[in-house]
Amino acid sequence: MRLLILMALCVAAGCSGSAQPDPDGAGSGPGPSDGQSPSTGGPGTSPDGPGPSQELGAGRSGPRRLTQREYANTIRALLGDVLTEADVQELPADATTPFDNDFSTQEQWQQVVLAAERLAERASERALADPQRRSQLVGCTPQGAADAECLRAFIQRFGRQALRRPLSASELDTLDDALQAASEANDFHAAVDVVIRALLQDTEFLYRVERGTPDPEHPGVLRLTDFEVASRLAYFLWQAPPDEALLDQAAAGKLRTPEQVRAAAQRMLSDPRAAEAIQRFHALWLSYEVLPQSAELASRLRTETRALVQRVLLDEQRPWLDLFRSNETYVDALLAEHYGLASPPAGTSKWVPYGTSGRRGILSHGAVLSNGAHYGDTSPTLRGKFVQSRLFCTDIPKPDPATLPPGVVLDKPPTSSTTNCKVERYAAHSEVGLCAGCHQLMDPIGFGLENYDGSGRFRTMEPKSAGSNSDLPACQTPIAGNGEIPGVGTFHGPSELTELLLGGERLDACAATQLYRFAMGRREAGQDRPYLDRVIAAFRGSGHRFDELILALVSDPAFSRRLAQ
Amino acid sequence: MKSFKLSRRTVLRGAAGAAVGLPMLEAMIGSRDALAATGSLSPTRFLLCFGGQSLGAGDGAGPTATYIPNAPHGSSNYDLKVALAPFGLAEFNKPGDGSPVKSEITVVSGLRVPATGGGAAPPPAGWNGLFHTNAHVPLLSGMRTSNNAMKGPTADQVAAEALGCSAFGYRVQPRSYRDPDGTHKSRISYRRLANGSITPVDPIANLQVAYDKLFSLPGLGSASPEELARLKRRRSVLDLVLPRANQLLGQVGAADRERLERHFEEIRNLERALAEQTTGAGAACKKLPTPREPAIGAVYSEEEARARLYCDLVHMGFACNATRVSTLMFTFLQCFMSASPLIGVNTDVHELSHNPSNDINVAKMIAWHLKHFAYLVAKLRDTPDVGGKSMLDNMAVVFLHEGGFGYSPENGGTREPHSTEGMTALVAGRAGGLRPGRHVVAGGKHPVNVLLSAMNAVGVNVNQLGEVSGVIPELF
Repeated sequence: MRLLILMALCVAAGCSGSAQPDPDGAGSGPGPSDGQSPSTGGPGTSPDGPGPSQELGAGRSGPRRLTQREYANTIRALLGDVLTEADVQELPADATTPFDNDFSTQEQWQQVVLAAERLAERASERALADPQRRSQLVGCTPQGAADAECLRAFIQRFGRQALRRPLSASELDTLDDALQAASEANDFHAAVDVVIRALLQDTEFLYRVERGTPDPEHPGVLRLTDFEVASRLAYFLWQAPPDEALLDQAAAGKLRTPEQVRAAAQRMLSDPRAAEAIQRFHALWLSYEVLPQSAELASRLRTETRALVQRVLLDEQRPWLDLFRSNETYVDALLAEHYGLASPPAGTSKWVPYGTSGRRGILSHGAVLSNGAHYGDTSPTLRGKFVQSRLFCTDIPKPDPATLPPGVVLDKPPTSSTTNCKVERYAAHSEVGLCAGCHQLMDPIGFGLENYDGSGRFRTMEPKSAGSNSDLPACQTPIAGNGEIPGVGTFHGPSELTELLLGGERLDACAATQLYRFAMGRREAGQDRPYLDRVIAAFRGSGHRFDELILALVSDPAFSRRLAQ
Repeated sequence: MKSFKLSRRTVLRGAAGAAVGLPMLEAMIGSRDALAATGSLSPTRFLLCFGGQSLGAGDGAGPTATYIPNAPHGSSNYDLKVALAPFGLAEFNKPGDGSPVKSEITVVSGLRVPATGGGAAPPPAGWNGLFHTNAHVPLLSGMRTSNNAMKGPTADQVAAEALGCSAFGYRVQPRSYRDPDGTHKSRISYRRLANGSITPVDPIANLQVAYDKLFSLPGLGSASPEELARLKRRRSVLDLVLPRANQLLGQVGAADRERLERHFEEIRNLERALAEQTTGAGAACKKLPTPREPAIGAVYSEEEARARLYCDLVHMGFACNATRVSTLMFTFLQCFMSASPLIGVNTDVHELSHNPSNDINVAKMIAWHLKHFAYLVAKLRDTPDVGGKSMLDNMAVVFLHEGGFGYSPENGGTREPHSTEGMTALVAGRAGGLRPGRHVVAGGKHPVNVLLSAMNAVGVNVNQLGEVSGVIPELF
């Protein structure tokens, strides 16, 4: 009953509770927004109910530009370690929403083209500078500057790697024009340089373009080509291009059935690049790739969380939910002191039990608790919003200013003329009906984590922060730390919050949804639901094995398809 | 007058298929110098600078205490409060007569972008809804909005089209830091596509890319044989890239095509930049060495150093006649850059404005922006242009802030930074008869009236931008 009331309030205030994009989020700009159906009525609609295309759940796609990370990995795969991290930062910074590959945010063009030209020149120059590396790259020994045969063989091989598909005869002919540079410079490798640079600036190198072919069984749906499936797999599982083996499987038509895709993905998951992609998915999802703390502390916090992901998902292949259940954590002396845990010997890092500290699992990590830091303190609202949007996939929209009570500033924590204690200050959020609808879904969650500061340190008293009333002293009441997930239960601290999460069905469904977003480079829309539901069911059916979640996602027929435009 | 252009493709065709060697390229550059010597250039230039900050802290005393001069309307030698203090710094004084740079800068106060609260429709040239996602739309384009979308081309793009050049846009702050909503807050420039839709124009936010874009243009200074060879190779590569891009367009669906079109357009722009000879570079044009790229950090990326380097680049872009229109965006809208390294306050720029005790810190942060602005204005003032004038004499330079201070339609408050009341603009340059160095009280005029004044001053003869028309006569 209580939940129903909350939901009613929530709707009144614009809190739909559904996983729609935050109106102030990535979908708010002039770019394409999620939920847009490219065709009226949806694919394969029939008056008698959902048709085969709707049941499939194939979704929207579009040209996806390589992220900085994907670009760096792609250049490394093609040419070796020829570019530095600073080089790659010449490309525009990727928006993190929280993932870095949401193609609706890719609204930079000028800097992409200019940087791609410079980087192509530099990468090629460095790759060709070393004679040994150069001859390995070219793959044949040129008989003079104008060796058309050797050049063509190189174009064919390098072009397939760079464009992630074989080049057509006419494409090969066009690129043969590079020979002119060789004859002018009287140097065969001038042509190689021109070819490398042209391909590294090619639209189909910088973007993943999915043409597909009409799927006869699913009207309105395109089946991706085998090579496009290979690219989807590789950039999802490796954040890198397909390797030769995967391209060969595509060429042989061995990425068609769910079993074939699953087998290919299984091989790919055993590669270190997959481990890194799994690490990165978690770091982006929970926003700890970039941390606001000092470099010294930030690197330790990231190491701690990486160690947990490594142990649970990669080394021991335990259920994904064990990330939340872990009763120990990986710290060195500095981090142990930070948390108030038993310290390992100086200079070493060790798994240390949490004991009765009230901590448990990844939600106790400073890397995760740094979410919601605001005005030099924690914001219960932002922490609650983090739990709702990242762990439950429930996005809470920013308020409609038309309904804001006078005097409320959206970007500022509430202040009071009588107290600096946060519980009293934030009570203002629930005293006004229109605010309460949304804030009751956020603030009570955040208050349950108040004993942990923005770096995850335990505390008993609130600091006087920049958001406090400067005319009043700091709050003298010890932090209560009482939290509640509305409609679910009450909790105190990260350990009890974890208990509530593990008892429900939202955390695992949301994890699968977040992975879907990372895989597709966009948010899910209504038409994606059947596919997503199959993936969530498979995750549960596997006992929450993360590798099984990945395999279910990629081997589903909808993974290899897109809606026609 | 439009720049003199010499198409490489024309030359190639004229050479009857023969490969164009280095001597031909050198000859082309020689011809450019000859054109410059005729003095037939029209060197008026337009520069728009932007800071993602409002003018006061919520419930504070506001900019009358920290920014707006006490000097009455029209007076010169206005007083410099904290925000404008950099305009009095001796380092920016004019060599020779020692006059402060403020004598080159007019402070326009009392500007206003209309806004409505309570869910009412946005007024003409105004906004409603959320400040950080809507207010910049009428500020930059003169068009009303309520749904976060830019509705018209911005002043810089209109000016560039009228002056027959492409605008150079830079951004100092390289990333949005903790804002996941950074994409539309990362730019201040939009233009209209052939199909009528409005599209963002992304600024360059990497110094290596920005310096290379300017200094690898053909014909800037005297090119060494190595540089000419590099240019030739770059052209050969693009000759292969372009036709392939065009082919791809015919093979994809409509939605994909629309996204890729913008990419191809930039490839064509690059090809054109490498192919055409710009008009003669001024005497002050020289290639600056590409600086080291400051490291990108979690909350701060050495914006102090970056700002100076971008100012040098804007200056040289004009001196080298590479463009006549530039934008320089110092900080993101709703800027989350750390204020700590710049003014010693341990918070981000946005949070400064929402802390009542922070009026003075808001002003110091504005002063940080304006220190760099003053440096750039002084540099333009001290650079001779043709006909015995300085470059600044032939320019119109405008600095806009994201917000003002006063009524906020978000909450009905009257001392709010989420406001477009009580806005200011700074105007420098003497193009078209602009008279700098004064305090002009605009009495509720729209900031776009300032932009229109600057545009007209440089010869962009438009009376209207978006839904705003007319200049501010007192600026002349």
